[in-house]
Amino acid sequence: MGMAQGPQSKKNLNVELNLLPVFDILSVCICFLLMTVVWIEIRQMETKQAIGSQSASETIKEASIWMSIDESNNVVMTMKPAKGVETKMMVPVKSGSIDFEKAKSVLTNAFSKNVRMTHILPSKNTKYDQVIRLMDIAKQVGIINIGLSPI
Amino acid sequence: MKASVLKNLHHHSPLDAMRRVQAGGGGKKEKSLFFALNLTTLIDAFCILVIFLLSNMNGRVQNLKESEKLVLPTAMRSEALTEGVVVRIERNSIFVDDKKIVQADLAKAILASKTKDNVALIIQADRKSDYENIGLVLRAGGQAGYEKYVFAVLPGT
Repeated sequence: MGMAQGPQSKKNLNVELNLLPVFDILSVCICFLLMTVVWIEIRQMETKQAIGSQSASETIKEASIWMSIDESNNVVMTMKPAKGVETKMMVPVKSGSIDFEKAKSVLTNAFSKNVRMTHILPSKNTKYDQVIRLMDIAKQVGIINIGLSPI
Repeated sequence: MKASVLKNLHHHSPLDAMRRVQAGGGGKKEKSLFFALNLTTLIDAFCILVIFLLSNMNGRVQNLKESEKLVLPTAMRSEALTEGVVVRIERNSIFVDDKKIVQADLAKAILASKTKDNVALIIQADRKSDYENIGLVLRAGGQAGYEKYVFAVLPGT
């Protein structure tokens, strides 16, 4: 096909490309990429803590929900509207851990009432994964502004 | 006797080996031992692999060390990991940037690691850790002037 077959030109038009160096480079690339690839990607959940630079009178009061976890994993959810009276709701423990389904429904209800901020107050023996799950649920519902209280 | 020696020499000669490799070199028509290995398809497969690995890489840098001793909690709504000072809590030991720190020196160590680029405090702890340990790091971070706290999690379903 690639051969010149005419009577004048007898020159071979086939070019032999040496693929071995390309093969070597690709092998090195694959080895490097396989060694540096991140198989399990670690992600993050963010929370901010205010450093008190403003006085209480200067800060704009925003509606928030405070979630206080006791040592038995009962959650007391206190709704603090921008104006008006606070309302408390108890989410009792469910088989040793926080009742996340009920907590989610309370948070969904709070979100519908324009609550965009939450503050979590765990007790010292609350398990870390339960706190993270509560934060995750708040984010799923739409409450992005999450505060976490150190003990 | 003389003929057999010659025959023996002939069998061990490099010329005979060449004749075997290059078909038609000898009088008899022998099968060539040269074979052409088609590398084109292999290179195609390698290219696809390189492209796949490069697209997966995405220029992400992970500055967290995975430890067998700790299992991270999972979260559905998580973001890509940012840079910051890493505080690892393994059972009752606390490590700041892989250096073991005594509880009393925690705030000092966190403050020492703080730079203009590292404004976040990344907390890497086992899912079964008590919040007491996390609170300790949060307090120390507050003393060191950190506002942004980041919890390392695994993406959940």
